[in-house]
Amino acid sequence: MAELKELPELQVFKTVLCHSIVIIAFPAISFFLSKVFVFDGLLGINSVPSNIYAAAVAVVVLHIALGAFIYRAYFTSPSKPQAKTD
Amino acid sequence: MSTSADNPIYGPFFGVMGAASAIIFSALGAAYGTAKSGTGIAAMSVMRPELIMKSIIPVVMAGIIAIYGLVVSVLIASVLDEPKNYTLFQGFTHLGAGLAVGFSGLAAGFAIGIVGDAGVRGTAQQPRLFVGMILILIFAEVLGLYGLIVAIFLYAKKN
Repeated sequence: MAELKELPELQVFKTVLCHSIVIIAFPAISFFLSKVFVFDGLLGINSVPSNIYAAAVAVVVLHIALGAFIYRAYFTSPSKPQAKTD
Repeated sequence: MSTSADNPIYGPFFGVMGAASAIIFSALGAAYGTAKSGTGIAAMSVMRPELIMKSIIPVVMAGIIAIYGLVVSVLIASVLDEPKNYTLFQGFTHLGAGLAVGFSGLAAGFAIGIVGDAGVRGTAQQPRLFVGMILILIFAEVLGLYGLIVAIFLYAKKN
């Protein structure tokens, strides 16, 4: 019984950790990647507008990651209701 | 031409204060939101540990408030320069941008904390409350997003 309960807990922890890393890291990574490679490198925009576009990209990525987490949390609700045994 | 009326020595002070206040106040709001909804999660998950995944959402949303402040802070800090390249007007707009996202983030963090605490405790009793809690949290978080939009507009002002 203890091992049966242990496995979903690890699964939940892995899921939450994975989504947390995505939500924390992806916006920062996408900000700098899109600024350096796309807006500065590929399109050659000035410093201030490229900063703004990169910030917009980072915020959009952030909300996609947040939406994915909410979707995951909403649709992977535990199927078994807490059975009361007494 | 080191300093003049348009490029005074204290011009970058305002920009630095804007960058600092953006992240300080956003982090303050995010910390309050995390702590307040964290107490709710801790109290709720003693009885319903299977709901932890759902109830982490207020904490994540409070963390996002701090990312707004971080974005504006990085934007302002990337154009800060010596007084001869940095006008007083730029300093003022950057201070305004920092305060806009900072105080909006503070307000949104407070709202997320209070809603998250009550919502997580209520979801343990009535699971159908979850949709309502998410909606209220989204509306609370959008307040911080409004601050971010205003801050980016102020940052984009030309002198």
